[in-house]
Amino acid sequence: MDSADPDDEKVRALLARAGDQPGPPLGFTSTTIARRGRRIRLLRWGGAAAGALVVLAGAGLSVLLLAHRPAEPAAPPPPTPATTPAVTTTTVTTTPTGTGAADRTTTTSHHFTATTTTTWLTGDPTST
Amino acid sequence: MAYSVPVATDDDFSEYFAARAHALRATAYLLCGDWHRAEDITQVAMTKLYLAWPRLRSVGLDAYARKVVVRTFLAENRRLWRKREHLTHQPPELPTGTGDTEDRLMVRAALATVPPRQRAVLVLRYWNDLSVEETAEALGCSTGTVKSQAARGVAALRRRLGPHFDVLSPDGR
Repeated sequence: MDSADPDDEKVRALLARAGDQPGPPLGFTSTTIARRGRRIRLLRWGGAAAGALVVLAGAGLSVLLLAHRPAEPAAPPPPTPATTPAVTTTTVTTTPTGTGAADRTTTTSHHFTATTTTTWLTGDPTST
Repeated sequence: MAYSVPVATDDDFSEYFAARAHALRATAYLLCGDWHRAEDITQVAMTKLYLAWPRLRSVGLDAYARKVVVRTFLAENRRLWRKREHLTHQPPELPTGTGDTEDRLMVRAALATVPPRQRAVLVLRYWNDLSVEETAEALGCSTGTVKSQAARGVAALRRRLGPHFDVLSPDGR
């Protein structure tokens, strides 16, 4: 298709007609281009070096923070179940006989938070 | 990395610049139709070429340079400001000339109406004499796209020039 099309040669001739003119002299030289290229290279190197420095500084800071991390406070030990009562209080109240009131003995026992109160009346069959 | 004979010195670049800068600017001029803009494009292309110089193979320099010129032109066309502003060194009313000058202006004006990508295909195919495959490689597209864009570009050029399309060709003269 490319070589068989007669339009190809016509377009080729048209473009040759449009492009075949010297034009104004170039406004830059190879020295200008080289200078600009070197400046761009330098900027790229600087950017890369700065980026590497930032990464290294971040990594170093992370290591330092991990190494000097404050110790967490120790957790309190879990409560152990008591096998013997910690507190035992016994109160015995004796009412003198002959006063008309029934003789009475009161015993109070405390085990941790629980309190058990037992009252025996004189002659109570359960007191034995 | 099997690079063949790397060219890495500024002297080599200066030689290449002296030999090819004008041809690259002519390509850029056909693409954009403005000498000043063509110079800007060539300058950008040459700077990119210089930056890539150490790793370029000497056999692929021209292809690389052409690719950079065309892609720089297309990238500039995509920018919004380029659509709003149009820099030109010529007044809107073109001077009436005779002979070659008038023909050249007519062809250039017709070429300017062709969409940029089709224009790039036309310039690479018919000015730089690249094959369809080389043109596709330079533009980063398929060979089918190159063929269709070339056909559309030629049709647009023919539509714009009218009877001059045949008259200005060698057969018509």
